[in-house]
Amino acid sequence: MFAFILRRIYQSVLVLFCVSLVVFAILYLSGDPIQMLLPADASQEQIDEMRRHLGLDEPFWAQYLSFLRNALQGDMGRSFTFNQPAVKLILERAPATLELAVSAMILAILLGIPAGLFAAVKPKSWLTQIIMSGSLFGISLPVFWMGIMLIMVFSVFLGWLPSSGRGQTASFGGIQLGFLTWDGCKHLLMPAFTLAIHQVAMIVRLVRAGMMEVMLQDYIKFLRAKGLSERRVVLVHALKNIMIPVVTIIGLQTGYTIAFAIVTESIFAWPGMGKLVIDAIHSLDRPVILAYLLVVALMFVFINFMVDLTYSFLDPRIRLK
Amino acid sequence: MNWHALRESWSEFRESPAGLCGLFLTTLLFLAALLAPLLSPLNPYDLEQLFLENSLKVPSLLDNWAYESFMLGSDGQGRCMYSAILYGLRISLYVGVASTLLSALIGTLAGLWAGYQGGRTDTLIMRLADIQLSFPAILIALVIMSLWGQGVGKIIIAISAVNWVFYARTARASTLSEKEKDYVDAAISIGVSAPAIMLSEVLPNIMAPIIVIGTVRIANAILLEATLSFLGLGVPVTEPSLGALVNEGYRVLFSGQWWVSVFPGLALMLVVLGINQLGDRLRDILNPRLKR
Amino acid sequence: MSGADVILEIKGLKTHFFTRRGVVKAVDGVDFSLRRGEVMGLVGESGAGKSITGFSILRLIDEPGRIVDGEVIFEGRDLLTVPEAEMRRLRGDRLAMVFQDPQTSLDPVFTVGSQIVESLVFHQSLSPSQAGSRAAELLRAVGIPDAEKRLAAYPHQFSGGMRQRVVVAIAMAQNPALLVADEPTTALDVTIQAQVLTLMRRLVRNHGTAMILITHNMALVGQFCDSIAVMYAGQLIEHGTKEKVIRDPQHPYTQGLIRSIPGRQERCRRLDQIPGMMPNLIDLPPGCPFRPRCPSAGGDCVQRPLLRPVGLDHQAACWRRNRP
Repeated sequence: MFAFILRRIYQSVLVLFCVSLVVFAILYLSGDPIQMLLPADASQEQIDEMRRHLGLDEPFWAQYLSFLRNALQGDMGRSFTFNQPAVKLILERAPATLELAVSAMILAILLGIPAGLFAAVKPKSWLTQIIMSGSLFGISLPVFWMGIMLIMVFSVFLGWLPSSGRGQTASFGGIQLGFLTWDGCKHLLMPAFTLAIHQVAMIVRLVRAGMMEVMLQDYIKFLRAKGLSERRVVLVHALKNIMIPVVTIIGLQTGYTIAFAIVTESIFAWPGMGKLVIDAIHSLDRPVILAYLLVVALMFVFINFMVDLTYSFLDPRIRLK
Repeated sequence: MNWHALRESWSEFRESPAGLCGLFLTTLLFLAALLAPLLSPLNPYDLEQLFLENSLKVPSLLDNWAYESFMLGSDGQGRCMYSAILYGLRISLYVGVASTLLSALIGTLAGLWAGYQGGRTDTLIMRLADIQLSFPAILIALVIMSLWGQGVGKIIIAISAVNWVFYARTARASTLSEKEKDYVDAAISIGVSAPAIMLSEVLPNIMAPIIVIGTVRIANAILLEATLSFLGLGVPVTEPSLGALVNEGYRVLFSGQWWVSVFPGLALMLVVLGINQLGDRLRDILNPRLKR
Repeated sequence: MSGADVILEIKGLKTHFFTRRGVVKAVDGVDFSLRRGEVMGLVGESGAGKSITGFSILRLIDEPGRIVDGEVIFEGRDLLTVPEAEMRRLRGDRLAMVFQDPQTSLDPVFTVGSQIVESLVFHQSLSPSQAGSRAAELLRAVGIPDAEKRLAAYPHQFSGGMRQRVVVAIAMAQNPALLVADEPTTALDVTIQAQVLTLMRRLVRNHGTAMILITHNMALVGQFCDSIAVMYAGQLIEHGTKEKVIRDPQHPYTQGLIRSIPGRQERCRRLDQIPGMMPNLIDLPPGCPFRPRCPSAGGDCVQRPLLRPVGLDHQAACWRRNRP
């Protein structure tokens, strides 16, 4: 078990290293931020001075190494536009994004797993028809359009829900969270739902496909031959057998939700790190983009690590390897 | 796949209304995109045809049911929405199909090569795929587009760079099982070179799963393009795709001009829905594991 | 083959599968009966409908299959008319089943102990600790060493033979009146096969359990069974005591099967095979299903022959039983 954890940590660090290298290389090749920083009529001396100041005159490897050294100390440079440490900017906005992503995932799990189970066990029910066509719509809906349609109906026409911002937040352990207040909940509802739709559809399809395959297995038949009730066969035995792919996809999708929050946040003007990075991309604010990508990569690696740990609790065959 | 098998698959395909509906939707919208210059009342790219007094017209379909310009209203520049949607569909589908072909080509060859050669080549290619898969597609495409700027060619490359992984994995898995078969041994024993075996012997035998993945990924590629264009990082505004049109509509939504964002999004959803229905059905038919 | 101690009587059982290519008549009119404690071998090639017959007795037929006709009279009741809740109480209690592949018949993500305990709790309402010690007892009875410790192990930690012993222990937990064993040893090594079958026979003898041993292995049947029923294309074509069927087979198909057993005394003889293949069960021609492959088929074989007595405790379904 200990060796397993060590190996996973080693792999995670390797992935992070690769991501940092690739991201840095792409940004390095992407052109000169100097033009963005100085007025167009800046003299050559000013440009050279700025370049030296930012360390942009050094060769690629030297720049990368100093970037890496600083990054390990939590310093990824200062934002060109905000003139503040990039990591600080990202971390300030991370709770908003995480709140959104986690709410969306919880919504997706609560809706998706029961619906998928039902669709697998009762394939001929009319409700299954609705669930399955709903999930096909779910994976076909453009997320951003869905958000806009919600705003159109519930904010513009009906005026029930606010269309932008996070609303009132309350502090919990030093972190500002919206769902603790009624106003915050109202603000959270539409963005979280928008972000969740795709995930619900994915989970429904996965759970259904997995269940249908498991239900064909001999051990299911043997459990029935033991006289167990259908409820126990499905909800205890079959369900535990499909938990591995389900947990994998939930982990993966949580990461995707964090990334996809970029879209949702820019529609609902949600003050998270996705909105920050879209603005940074439009203004070529390189340190912020870098910090965002690395922070997200770190979250991804962490989620994958947790998924792997969960595996070993779910599947005895993995535990002993 | 021979003629008889094709006919059998078709008769199986016909049984599902959902599959037929998908085929119908997909064909209809592809035709509409293809024939956009003939079908559209106005040319949305022709600046000579844009007049400001035409801007933000209410859809004329609400009043009288006739096929005419501004039947779906107009946008802020006085562009006929119906025409813009047809042309936008054209770009969306072009990007979807082109990026799918490109990524299928790259991915299949990479997967074939990795699976056939094994060893270090395999490890290198599949490790790259693993690392890429542990990172969300939209971020990769976003980074690429933010560096290069907008452009149809660029977005095709960006989407391909994201999607090749799926083909590579599928192709590798199929190659690994094909490699064990006798026909490969036979070809090796009579001295056929490795590239020739890969391309002319193994490749035809791994096409079925690639095609299935392809239909599913086209829908995905179209959505990815739309999302990037919506964020302003996709195709240039001079030739807006459906995603870019929705973005434009979003800006006028709060002043009540709902049609500018509703209709392009609806078209986008219908085309993706059609392709997904088609893809689901093809997967059911071509995947022998699900057959009983 | 009759009397008061008949425990199972099957009459005209038909189980059909409604596939998109047509109706597969997997079991098409099967009759036989079984006495208390009798071990019957149900033989035939794969696809003959042996397993489907077995599953039909426990009413464990999945979509698109359906039992369309017949009676399964078990301990005086027709199982096909019993409500599902009552049927569940019978399964694993009076009626038990052992499956073909021990690799796949235990749930991989639960411990062996919990899989034994759950049926004890369901059928006997034992407390968890009582059920635990009873489970250990059951494992000891099937010859698993270190039983208490092994309860906490997962199926993948057992070898194939040991796993099948666990399956047998679960099946025998409630001393069932009937055990249906579907190819219980086919997936095992030859040496293990004999061990497991010997164990099963000992257990059913001790508990007076009747057993239907479904297999395609004629040699096993000769070794372990009291009576033999032969199936072909969804129909029973010969049924009788072991001695009668093996020494004096009446149906040409059975004769072919017996000739294909490798015999000890005639080591150098080439084994015979039955030419041809079993017909497609979707559009089965009328008449005797074996007709296309039968060496002695004739004009009257276009009528379907019914199972009828050909001697004491011996029945066959062939028009030519007098001209072998």
